[in-house]
Amino acid sequence: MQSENLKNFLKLVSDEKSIIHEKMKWRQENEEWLGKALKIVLKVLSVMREKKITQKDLAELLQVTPQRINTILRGDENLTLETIVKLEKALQIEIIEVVKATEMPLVAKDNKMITRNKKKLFSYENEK
Amino acid sequence: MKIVPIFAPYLYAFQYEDEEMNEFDRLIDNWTNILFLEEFFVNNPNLLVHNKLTLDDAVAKTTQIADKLYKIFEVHQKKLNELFENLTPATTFKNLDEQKYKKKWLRLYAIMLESGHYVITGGAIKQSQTMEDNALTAQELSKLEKCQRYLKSQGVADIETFLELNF
Repeated sequence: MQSENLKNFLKLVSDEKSIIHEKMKWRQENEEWLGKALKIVLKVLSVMREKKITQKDLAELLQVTPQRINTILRGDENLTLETIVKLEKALQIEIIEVVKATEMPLVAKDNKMITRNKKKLFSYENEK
Repeated sequence: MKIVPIFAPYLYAFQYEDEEMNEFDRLIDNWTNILFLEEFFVNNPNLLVHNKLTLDDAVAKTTQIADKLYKIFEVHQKKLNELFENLTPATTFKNLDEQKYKKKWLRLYAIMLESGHYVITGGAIKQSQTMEDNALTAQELSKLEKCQRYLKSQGVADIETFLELNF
């Protein structure tokens, strides 16, 4: 049962809808990678500040619209490797460094000793 | 001034003439916007020093809490009475548990229309216990009073309860 107060209030409520639900649903669906995207954007923003690069400058460097840059910097875009590499080139920085695979030698077919890290294999052979 | 439904019939939010979004949408959007937050913390270094946080950690913390806050509203929209705490404008938060209050990061302000039904009037990232905090509090209380006057002028009379949600 609604009070008179609430009834009067409901008469004032607009037909407009909240637009935040869509964004928050998207964030919930993509929460696994949003933390990494946040780190990338913060890195980009720190370099932009350091080098005094504006959003407009970055848009020109990447040859995209300022709106697209705004979306990226808000953290609202699932960045592809292509976009990340473009950002790296434009800002002359390294954003992502892939962690190297295991450094220990592996025994492959016919008992051949192989490694994914050349330097480590040499040092292993020297130790033998 | 407009009132927009957020989680009707339990939660609504005011939208002011000079804003493009209602207060709930605007705050949650800002608190999950890396560009906005980075700028905000660069302009509020005291907040980082006071809380012993790096800029990057403060941005991450704000987005995480905003995500949780939204989820709580989404899941517990029928139990809003348990989320909001009474706010006495004259005492400016002195009635709240000091330790509990200090740890909180985001604030929302609301007017209770009747039990379980609220309208958001504003909110903020919690400042340090300094002038900035007092200035912000005054601004938020002014918004609360403006909304109260508006509601009263439109025949919604029984709205004496101001509340805040700290998260």
